[in-house]
Amino acid sequence: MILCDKCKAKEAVMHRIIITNGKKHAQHFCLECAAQAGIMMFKLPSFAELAASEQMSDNSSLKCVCGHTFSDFKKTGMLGCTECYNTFSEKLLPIISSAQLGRTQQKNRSFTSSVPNESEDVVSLQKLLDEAVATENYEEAVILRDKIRALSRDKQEEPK
Amino acid sequence: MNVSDVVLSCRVRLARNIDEFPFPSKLSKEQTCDLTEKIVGASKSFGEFNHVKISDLNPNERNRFVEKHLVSHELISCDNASFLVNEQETLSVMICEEDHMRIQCILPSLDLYSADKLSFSADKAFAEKLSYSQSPRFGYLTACPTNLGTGMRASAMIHLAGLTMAKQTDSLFRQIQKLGVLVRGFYGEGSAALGGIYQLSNQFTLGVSEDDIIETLDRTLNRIAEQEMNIREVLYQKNKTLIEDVIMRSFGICKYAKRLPYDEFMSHISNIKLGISLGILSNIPMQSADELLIKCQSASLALHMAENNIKAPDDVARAEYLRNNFFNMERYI
Repeated sequence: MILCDKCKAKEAVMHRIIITNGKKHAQHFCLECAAQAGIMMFKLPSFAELAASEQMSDNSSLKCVCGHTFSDFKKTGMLGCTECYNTFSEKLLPIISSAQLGRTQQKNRSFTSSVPNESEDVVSLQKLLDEAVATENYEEAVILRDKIRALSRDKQEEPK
Repeated sequence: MNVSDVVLSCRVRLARNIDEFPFPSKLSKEQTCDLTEKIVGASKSFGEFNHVKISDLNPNERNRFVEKHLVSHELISCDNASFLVNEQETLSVMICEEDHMRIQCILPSLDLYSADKLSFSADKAFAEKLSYSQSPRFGYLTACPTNLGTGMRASAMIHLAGLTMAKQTDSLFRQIQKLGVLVRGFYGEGSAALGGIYQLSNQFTLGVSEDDIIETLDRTLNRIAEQEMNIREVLYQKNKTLIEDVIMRSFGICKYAKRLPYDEFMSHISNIKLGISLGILSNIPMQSADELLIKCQSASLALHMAENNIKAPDDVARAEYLRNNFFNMERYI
């Protein structure tokens, strides 16, 4: 076990190599000391973290007919009923988009109901894009921008 | 060597909810009973199912179903939940787990297309009797948005003994994660990959079709299985004595040990499976090794001990089970 260079008590889990004047120097830190030293940690957020990181806003006190609040969702990552998807739609869409690689429209093989028209989709995507930019969520914004472009392109090509 | 030496089993699981009922976390006891009755009633049109209530099972019986991968850890911790299972144990329906229904089909080796076909025929039969919660935009509505859309989670259990030995799993997993394929341990989310056995599944469920999910996973698994088979051959050719030594040592330990902790057993059974596929232990059927893998898990073993009135610590009972039921057969040497 490699001990942390800083506290010399806990097991080191973060390792970095610094090269100064062509000389290599290895550093080892435990999680706490790495955080204190401000070393960046790259870790993909879990779905629960993603939900919890959603900024609180005025409608966070919204309550669904089933009694579920958005805070409940943030705590558990679970919704209370199907109506929750409508009640919290505005806040849920960016979360769904992040969890599903930017996709927010189903392509199920067995689905027979009508699919919402594209212009409606572009409008709602644009709204999401504005929101993502406002909250400085640029990764999400790039995905949304590409989707809007692709949809607009498809539409232009259609009449040919 | 073929794909069934590498891929242990495959599974297709569909999450479905019924209209007019809240998701399971908000269901009252009466609603749970009502809903369960509806689902069990609907299953009668499709085939013979055994309806098992979690509250009727003791902890070991509950865990044995988890060890067989028929139900999840989450289901057995919920006293109001239950499940349906067919006689062959290929098709099961978890009732009131995270969603109202989780229809799942498990088949040996890599046969995702058949698992897809079977689970969808069950799904279709249920849909004729029950009204599923769906939306034009999100498809099947699920309690957790990570299952939205198709509600489909296809997965397979793959034994990567060679790639683990060659320390190539990290780079491989990085590549396949880019294809939207998730890698987990032997018992799914949060579990360890003991004995080099991993669970691979689709990460995304929305904006993809069921056919795309099955096709991508099947293609990825076939490619990995091929890599695994190649590396096993190469490793064996280059390090014949070393590989034979590792395998025969594991065989010896399973044959003679007096106590065998779970983690140690998993690494030996992994080596034995590797030995069978390379023809070093050619007399042992791979199916027997796979059966041992399930039978030597803690709860299955505890039930075997209770049935045969054996009183011994877990690791002693495991070693005894192996000695008496499997490795005492001289023909395996």
